[in-house]
Amino acid sequence: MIITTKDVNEIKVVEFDGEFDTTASPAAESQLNQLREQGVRKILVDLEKMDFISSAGLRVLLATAQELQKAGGELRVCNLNENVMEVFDISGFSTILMVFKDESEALQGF
Amino acid sequence: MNGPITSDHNKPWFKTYVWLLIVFWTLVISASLTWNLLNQNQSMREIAFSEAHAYLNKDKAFRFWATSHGGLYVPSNERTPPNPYLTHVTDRDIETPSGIKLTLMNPSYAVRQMNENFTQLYGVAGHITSLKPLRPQNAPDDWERAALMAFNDGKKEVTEFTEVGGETHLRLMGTLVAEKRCLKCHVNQGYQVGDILGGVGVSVPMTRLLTLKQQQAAVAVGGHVGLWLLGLLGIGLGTRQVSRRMRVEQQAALLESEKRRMEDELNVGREIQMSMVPKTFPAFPDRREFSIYATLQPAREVGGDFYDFFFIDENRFCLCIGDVSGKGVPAALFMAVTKTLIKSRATDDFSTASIITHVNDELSRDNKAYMFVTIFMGILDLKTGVLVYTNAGHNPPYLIREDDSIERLDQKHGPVVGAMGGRAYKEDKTNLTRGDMLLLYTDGITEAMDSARNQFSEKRLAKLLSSKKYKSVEEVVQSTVTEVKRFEDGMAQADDITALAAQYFGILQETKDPVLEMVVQNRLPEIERFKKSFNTFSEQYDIPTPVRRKMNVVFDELLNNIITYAYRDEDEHSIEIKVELSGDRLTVSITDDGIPLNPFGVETPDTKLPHEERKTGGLGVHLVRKVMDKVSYQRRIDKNVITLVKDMATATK
Repeated sequence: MIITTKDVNEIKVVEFDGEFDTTASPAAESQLNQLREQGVRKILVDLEKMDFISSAGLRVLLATAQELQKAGGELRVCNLNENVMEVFDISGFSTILMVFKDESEALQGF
Repeated sequence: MNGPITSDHNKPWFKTYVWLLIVFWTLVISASLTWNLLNQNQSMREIAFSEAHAYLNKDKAFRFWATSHGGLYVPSNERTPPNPYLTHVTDRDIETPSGIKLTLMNPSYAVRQMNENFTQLYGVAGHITSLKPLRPQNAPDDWERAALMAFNDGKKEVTEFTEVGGETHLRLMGTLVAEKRCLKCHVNQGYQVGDILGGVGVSVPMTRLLTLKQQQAAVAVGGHVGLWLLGLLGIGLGTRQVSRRMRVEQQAALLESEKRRMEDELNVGREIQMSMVPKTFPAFPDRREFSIYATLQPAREVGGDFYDFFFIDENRFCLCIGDVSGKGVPAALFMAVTKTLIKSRATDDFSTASIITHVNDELSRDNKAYMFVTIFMGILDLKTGVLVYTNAGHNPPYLIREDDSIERLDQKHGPVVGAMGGRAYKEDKTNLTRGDMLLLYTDGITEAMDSARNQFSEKRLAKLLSSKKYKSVEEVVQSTVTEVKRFEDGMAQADDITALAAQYFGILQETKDPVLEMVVQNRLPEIERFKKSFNTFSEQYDIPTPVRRKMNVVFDELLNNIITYAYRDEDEHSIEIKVELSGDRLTVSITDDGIPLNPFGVETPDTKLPHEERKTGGLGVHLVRKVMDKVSYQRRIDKNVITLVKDMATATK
């Protein structure tokens, strides 16, 4: 999985390209941790190019969301495709994480 | 990794070995060098000697030649004045017919002059000397004197490397033996033929040779040092190779033990996981209201699946299935905690929503690893067939109805458990009727992949479940697992495969035979009440009227007897009556808790009662005996039990 970032004001937009499975999780986790350590408090995860997410991936998102929250920040997620949305629904993650339809919606009031 | 990593190439035995090698090499080189230098030295000496001898012999030869002529006559002039030491020799000076004056040069004189006039060309200067020289300037120096003395002792030749004027020379002296011709000049000294006149010696400067020798030595040393260094280099490279290889081997060994340690950890995780799921089947053979079967096939890396089932109370049965995020030992432990929380909460909580809510709160607390677990939990009331269930992020189970229709319990009652606390979960209910089957499973089944990375999917599972009528829970589970494995077609199993099936049968009647059970109080009007029920029962089950009438009499007599005589107190007592119709046999049992009272006994044990009160009247008992085919009385601890049997088929009464 390829991870790219860009900045929109003080919000870090992180894009995941590929599959967020068990092998990709450690790299993703360390990168997100790095952003937090650098002081980033608002992260928007854009999942438009993400085909697939496993429980390992969900865990990384959950951990990041919780840690950001503890530091007074927030994690938002947007551009989920059908499959990913289904996973989020079944697991109930759509009620745990802040999920938005697209980037513009997600950035509103962020 | 515990402890410092010590590689073999630091071990003492290796160092010693390397040092020994170096020492050995140095010795070899030194030996070779020494041998070379010695050789060179020897060669140099031989060259020096050859040179010295060559000079000497040349000198000797010239002298002998001059002597063989008895001397040489040369023009007498300033250059060659007549030799004053030869005055005693006749014909010392002569004159040629043309008037040229000639004088005699003795060999020594001739050689001396040649030496002096052509020093450069002549090269190495020879020196004739004697202990008794004719010419005093020919006297020997210290070294020559010593040599001459040695000649007198019989030595023929003396050689020595010695310092002359600060330079090393090879001095060589050979004997000068008197011959007849020599006596021409030396007769006066008292020599005879064969005596040692003196010696003739050369002094060969060694500078050139020494320089040469040094150069050669330098080359030898240089070459050997170079060779030695090369050797050291070779040893160094070789050592490095060996130690590198040892290091690689060590690393490989470390990796091996790491791998083994990880395998062990995986095994431990798997053991934990497998120990926490019930594996004995049939699980409750004595409970015929339902049957249950489950399987868990762990993946290589412990995948975190679990299932559990247990009785909450006599009639409430709980079953659940779940999947912990993550792998390995942490997942297995999280699963163990989850399972324990569920079970402990379920002991006094009959609502799955409430149980899951509580478990979620507990797990979300202190969840530093951010693990979570999907759970489906159901509680089945075995009496009513009502299933209460909560699905927390898990795969929706399938309900296979008795009529073969498939239902998907797809309601979601909350998110995965353990992610976030403070959430209220919901629940739903459904009614199970006899024969309905519930299948719980995990995503190890729906997400199993074949070689083309296609997933097994829910669609395939649903199709499989509706493809035929499953006769048992074992069949459903095993068919599903077989089908999944077939689909995988040899691909490695990525996740735990777990399936649990339960089939509901409902409360079964002990017997299909009609039974009338009734409890009456110890009051005479109760007899009427019972008779009414019995009559209804008789009509319902076609008991012939004559039999019915006779039974009424029997009941009347016996119940009367009990109510009247069995109790010493004024309290209320219950009398249990059971009438069973099995085919054509009518079986009656009457149980009361009064004093021991046997209506069929000849005498009652209680003799305190007045005689007429003891029996119900001979006619009454007689009638009972006559109507029934069998009568018996038993005292069971504190109860009277009367049993009566009537076979209506053989009824002649």
